[in-house]
Amino acid sequence: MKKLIAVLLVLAMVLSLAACGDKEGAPDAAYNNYLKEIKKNAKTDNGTLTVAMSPDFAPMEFYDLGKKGDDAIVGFDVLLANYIAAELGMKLIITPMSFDASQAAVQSGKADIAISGFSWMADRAENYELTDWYEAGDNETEQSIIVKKDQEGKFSKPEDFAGMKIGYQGASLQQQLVKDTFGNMADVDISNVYSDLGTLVEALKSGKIQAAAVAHGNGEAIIANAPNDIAFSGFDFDVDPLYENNLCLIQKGNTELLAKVNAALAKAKEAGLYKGWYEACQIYAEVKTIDELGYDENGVKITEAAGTK
Amino acid sequence: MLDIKNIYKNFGDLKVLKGVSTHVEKGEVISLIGVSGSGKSTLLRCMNLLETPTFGEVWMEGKLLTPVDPYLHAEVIQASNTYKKLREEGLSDEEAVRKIKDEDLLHEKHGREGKEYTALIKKIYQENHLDANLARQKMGMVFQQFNLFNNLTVLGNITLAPVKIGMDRIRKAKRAGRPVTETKESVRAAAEKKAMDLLKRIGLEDKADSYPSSLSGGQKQRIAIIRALAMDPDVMLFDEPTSALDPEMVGEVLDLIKELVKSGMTMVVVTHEMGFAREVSDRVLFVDEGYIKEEGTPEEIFRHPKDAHLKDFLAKVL
Amino acid sequence: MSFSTFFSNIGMLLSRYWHVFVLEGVKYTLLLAAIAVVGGTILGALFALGKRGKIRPLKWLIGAVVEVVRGTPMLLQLYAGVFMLPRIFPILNEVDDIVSVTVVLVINSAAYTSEIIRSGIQAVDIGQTEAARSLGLSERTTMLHVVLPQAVKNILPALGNEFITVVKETSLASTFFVGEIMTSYLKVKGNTYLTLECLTIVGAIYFILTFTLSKLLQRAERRMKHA
Repeated sequence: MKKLIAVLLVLAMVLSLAACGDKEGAPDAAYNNYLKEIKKNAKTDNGTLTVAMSPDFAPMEFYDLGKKGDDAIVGFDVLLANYIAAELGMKLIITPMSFDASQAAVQSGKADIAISGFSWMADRAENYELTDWYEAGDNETEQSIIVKKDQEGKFSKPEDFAGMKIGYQGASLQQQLVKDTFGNMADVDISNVYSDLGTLVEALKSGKIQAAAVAHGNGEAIIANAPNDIAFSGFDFDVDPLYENNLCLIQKGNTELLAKVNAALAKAKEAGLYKGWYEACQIYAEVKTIDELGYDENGVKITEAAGTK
Repeated sequence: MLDIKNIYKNFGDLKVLKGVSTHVEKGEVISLIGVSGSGKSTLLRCMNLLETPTFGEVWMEGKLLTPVDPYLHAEVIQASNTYKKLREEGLSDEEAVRKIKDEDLLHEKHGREGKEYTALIKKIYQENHLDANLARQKMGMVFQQFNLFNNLTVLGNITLAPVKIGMDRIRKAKRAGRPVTETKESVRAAAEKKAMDLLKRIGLEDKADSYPSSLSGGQKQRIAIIRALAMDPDVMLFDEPTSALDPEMVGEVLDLIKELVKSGMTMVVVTHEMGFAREVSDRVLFVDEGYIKEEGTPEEIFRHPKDAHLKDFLAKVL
Repeated sequence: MSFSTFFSNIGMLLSRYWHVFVLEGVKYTLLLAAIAVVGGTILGALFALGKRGKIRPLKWLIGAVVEVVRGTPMLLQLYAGVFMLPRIFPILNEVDDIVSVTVVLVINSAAYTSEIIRSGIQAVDIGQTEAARSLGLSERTTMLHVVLPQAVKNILPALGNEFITVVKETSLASTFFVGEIMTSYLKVKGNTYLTLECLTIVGAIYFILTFTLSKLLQRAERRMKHA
């Protein structure tokens, strides 16, 4: 009994150490605007659409811990799910479960569709109907090669790298891309694996390797820190956006639903809705602030035309 | 009183009793002696149906307690198809019956011995059978390990059976529409009074509300004995009643049993206490390897044993 | 990451999300465990009865269910329950998955408690039964008044342990986000990506729960011994 009290006391101390924590609740103004927009005039008499997802992956799908019930699950995929349901005139039911379970749910027919940040994979294509891809936010997924400053912009095709050593981070997308692109070329050395970006950059700087494959965003950060030493080579990997972006899973054979969902996705892409949704979710999940992304307190995007605030 | 007819008892492949017959008269005291594993405890337990004999019959006061054993009824054998066939083959009545008994020809075809056979068995059963539970109410058993109910007080132990059976009586009478003279309370009161009287008789009335865990072995066994007596049994069966007692307590238990003998109770006792057996028994049965190898008065058995195994046994224990 | 960041993160998480961990999480964990064990004991008693009875096909069926449930992982049973039960009982499609999950938990617990009950009864010395029957008491009376009261003394401590085990097993229900402690972990981690800190908090909560429960159980056992 005494031990129990001691443990509880420690717990209380830790709690108080946290002092007055941050504000309760998340900034959901922008998100709520978009959600309202989607649900406006939406009919629900065409049946129900059961969507399985795994809400442990901000900002794509996650819980607003200040809310209860059906409204507590929020995120990019939730907006997308609402959009698709509205387009199909169906009532949306979200069933939360683990990532694996959500796939099993679609296979067994317990859910009509799974929207949970899935990427394209060969065996997924075999076992499910995969919808067209959608991108969460801006296309930040270019993959590039960086080189020393004196080689800036000199490369445009794989053959340009003949006789060079190319490095990459182990177990990464870049590793796969390098293998796919340069694997057949006997005069390009692609055996240079590094455990992390830092060591990779050092290897490039010291001349151990002449080129490094990185995600474009990372490349920007690296160059920003060494602008006179490192630059983009001018070569970007040709990656089918399908492999980079997300898609939804539908039960194999349900081509009817597949066609309808693809139509809805095409409409959303056409209307350019994804970027705004993603920004709203980034704010909601507190990944970025409203100032960073250019929103006001009411969740309205500040455009140049609207003047300054 | 008690008729044991040709009892066989097998436990799987192990044959413990191989054809035992005996008879217990009212007021008789029988002792069963023999080495461990001889079958004497099994024999005792067959008497109150704690074990069901594989073959053979147990009768108490003209009532059949076990299923009908066709080999013990000539008319049943004669009604069977096997017998009829043998007779057709030319055997005489005696030969046919003997052949059937010796070669155990009936049992395997129990269902196929014909309607007459089955009907006869049913008739004998229905006319003579007594339900085992009812029979056991008239037979008391005392165990080597006392087996007092640990979750009940001493008083509870002694009154449990009389009360439950009394309430059963009331329920059955009500259902049959007969007049009911007892009530739950009267049954309980009667049982408790009887229990206290019995406890007083052995000087343990102050233990009425104690639990068995607080008693000594000798006290437990004596209470076990009066627990059985509370049911007014016609015969008492004792399975090595003193074997689990410390030596200083054996005396008090044996004394109580001797009192019972004096009061004329019919008893069958399995025991290793040869002195006791000699003193109180009317008959002593030497059970060995599943048979009754020798039986007689204490004088005959202890002074003039005939069977070789019996002589060995006595040499070891006396 | 330094120790101080680690602990200040924990503090921040607790102060911000304590209602998720404690109010929701603990509440659902204890609720699920209680329903599972109470329901499981009742169902388990029925199983034990059926197995001692005389109806052969029933005995066989119960035996099969118990063997399968005890021989397969709980996670598998949860999957089977949530995905396949609604096909047999369509009404389960109308309610939250937590109902299917609870059904699976109850059946799982029943399989184990039926064994606990069976062995608790078996552990009562056979001499007790023999003495009772020798007095002319029926099988039913013997069981009710002599054997079961003594079996309970064997069964209760084992049931208490089962409860503690089930408290931990409810964590598997988080696969379906039903709201118990492990679900809280997933929710908060999904928001903050502070995996290690969340795990530490959740681990501490489970430990406090099971530790307290086992101390209470010990005290209850001691009291029963003296009775």
